Amino acid sequence: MTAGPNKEDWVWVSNPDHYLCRQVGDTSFVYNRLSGTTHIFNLVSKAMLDYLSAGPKSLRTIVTEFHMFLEVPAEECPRGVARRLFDELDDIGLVQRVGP
Amino acid sequence: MKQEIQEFLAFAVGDLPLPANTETLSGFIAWAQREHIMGQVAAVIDAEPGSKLSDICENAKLRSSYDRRMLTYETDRIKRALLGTGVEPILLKGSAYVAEHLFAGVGRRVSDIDILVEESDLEQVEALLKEAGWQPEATTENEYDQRYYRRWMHELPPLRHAVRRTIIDIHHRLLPRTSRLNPDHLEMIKEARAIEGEALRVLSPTDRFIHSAIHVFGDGAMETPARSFLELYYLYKDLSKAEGQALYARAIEVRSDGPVAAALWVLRQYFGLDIADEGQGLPSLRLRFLIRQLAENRRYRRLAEILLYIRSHYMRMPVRQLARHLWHKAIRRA
Amino acid sequence: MTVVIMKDLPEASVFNALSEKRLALKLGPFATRLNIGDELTQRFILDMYQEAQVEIGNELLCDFSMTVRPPNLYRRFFRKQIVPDPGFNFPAVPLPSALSPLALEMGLNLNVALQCFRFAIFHAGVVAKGSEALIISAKSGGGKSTLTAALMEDGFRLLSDEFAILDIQDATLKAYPRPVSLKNQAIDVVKAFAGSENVSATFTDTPKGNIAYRRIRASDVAAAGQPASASIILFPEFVEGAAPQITQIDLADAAMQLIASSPNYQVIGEPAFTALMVMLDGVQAFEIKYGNTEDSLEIVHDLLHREPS
Repeated sequence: MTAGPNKEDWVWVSNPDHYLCRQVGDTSFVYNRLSGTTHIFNLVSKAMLDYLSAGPKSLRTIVTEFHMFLEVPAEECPRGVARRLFDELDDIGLVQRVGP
Repeated sequence: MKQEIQEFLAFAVGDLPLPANTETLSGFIAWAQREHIMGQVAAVIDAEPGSKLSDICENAKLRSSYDRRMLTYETDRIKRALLGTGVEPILLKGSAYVAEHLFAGVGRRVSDIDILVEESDLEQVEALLKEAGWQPEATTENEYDQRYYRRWMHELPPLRHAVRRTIIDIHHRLLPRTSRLNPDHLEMIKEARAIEGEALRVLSPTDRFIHSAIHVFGDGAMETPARSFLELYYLYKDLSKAEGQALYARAIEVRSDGPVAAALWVLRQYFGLDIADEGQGLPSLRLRFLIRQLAENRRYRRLAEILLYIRSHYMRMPVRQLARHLWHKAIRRA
Repeated sequence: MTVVIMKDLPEASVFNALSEKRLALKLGPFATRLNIGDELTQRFILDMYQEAQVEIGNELLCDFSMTVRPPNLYRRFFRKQIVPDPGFNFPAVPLPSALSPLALEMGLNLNVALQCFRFAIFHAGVVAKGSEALIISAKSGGGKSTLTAALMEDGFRLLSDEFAILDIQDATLKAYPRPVSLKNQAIDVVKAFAGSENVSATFTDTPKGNIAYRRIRASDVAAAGQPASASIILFPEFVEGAAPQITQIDLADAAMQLIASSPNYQVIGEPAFTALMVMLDGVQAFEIKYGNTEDSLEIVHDLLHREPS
């Protein structure tokens, strides 16, 4: 299951106005204003949300460069993991395509 | 009784200030709650802060904000599922009212999402929505229903989202192929317009009213008459003077003059709207009887409900086929 | 007519008003119009709700309405049955008419669970001392109601044995102190410390075994308007013969369990999220295990006097 079609050169962004985030211990509770659903995020999912909220990026950039945002070597955050984290956000409607 | 319902509807749309008589007020609110229109009522009346009335309105507003959010989000998800395909579905009913910020959509209770797509896009749309998590409903997944829907109906068997549990009806016509009434959906699709900045379309304001009338009087959506009447009222109010004048001619053009005549009769009868007769005349005595029984909660309401149930099926398919269909349903239940 | 305590009214006028849907039960934040023709249920209301505030009249504005009626005409006369009808087409399972008060209580719970959106509702018992509230989360067989009833005799006031009702404006908890429902062994346990005169007749052979109700108290009704703030969330587990045990749990887990228990959290959306997050501020959550009521009370005392960790 995926939210819909996707392509390497499609550009995506998260809009901070679309969600609220509250920290409870190590867990982030993210309320999605569009869907009305409360999600529980771990640190890495939260980092992906912050990464996408910082500005638009192509899917290619997201999967290849997310590890730099985490400040870890590429092996520690392989493309497959970055793609899965992105798809999770896409599934719950927290990313929007803004180009091309 | 007609007078009471006229008065209640006038309170409901804010044409009359709420009654000072607390007994009438209490009767009105109990009626609005029963008819599932409290959300719409709450949107137009001013309740004194801290009063029980304001509690009731607040409660209804919170409830209807959910329906609105759900429709908007599901529309967003449909758009996402079709992203890049160039298919632009036409939103029908509630999702269209909300997407267009119409008053008809404010506070209105809804349960599922209706979209209309060209028959040539049907297969692709169904496949992509299934890919995105919408699945056939367990109750209609059997072969008989799947075949039945595809052969005779105006929509695909309903799909339910695996995670969000929302239901979507994908229409390719406005009424079943077998229906006595055969609205010209192709002509209406021709007049559909894009929502600015979105890969989505909506019917023209006139066709939107016509479709609502078809749904209410041709498709049996009369279980909650007050809710249907409010919808027709607000949609009619949204027409410009010119659109209002051209409405009945358009209804004839798209072969929907019967339901539109009934809708206009209701608007004159219950809201006192001054609508010129463009030749539509009166709906049949029988239909007027049914509407009155239901709307005014008269003695034969239950009978009217049964007759309408039969009528809605009768309108949808020829008698022989109806008998076969009901027979099949009965056997399957046994 | 003005609001009065039900026991101050002549019985006959309460009976009439109940049959003619002219009686509103006003308890905590809710007004409920009752429509009860069944005599057993009428007597139950007169007894168990005697301390409640009611209003009689034709001009009632109510949050909810509750009708207790036979499922159809036939069942009015033959193998009599009864269903709660909360005013929308809820598919309630009919009960034998000897259990009609249960239909009332189930129906009043349905009202709150399915028709209330002004407050975020969580499935839990709530008691308070001063302004400090204790949320006792429901787990089947956990002993939520027994613990709630025991705490009532131990200087706590009852907010509700069924619902934590969270105000979405100020994140305080609201009281809706209806009769506490007791099941099976809990009935005798509660009779022992609350006095059997405060417990209703026992309904046997219900879908959930034996059920009885603890009558509402004047003090809880009088204090219902005072706000209370959550300070502890408990997840109790009653295990026959177990030694008392306290385990602090992650607040995020506790919050997730509360959300999962809510019938309307998702519907309310942002105000419920925001209020819940404010409510959790400074709250601690514990799983507790105990083998008898004395131990459970002692655990609660310990927790309330513990320094925040």
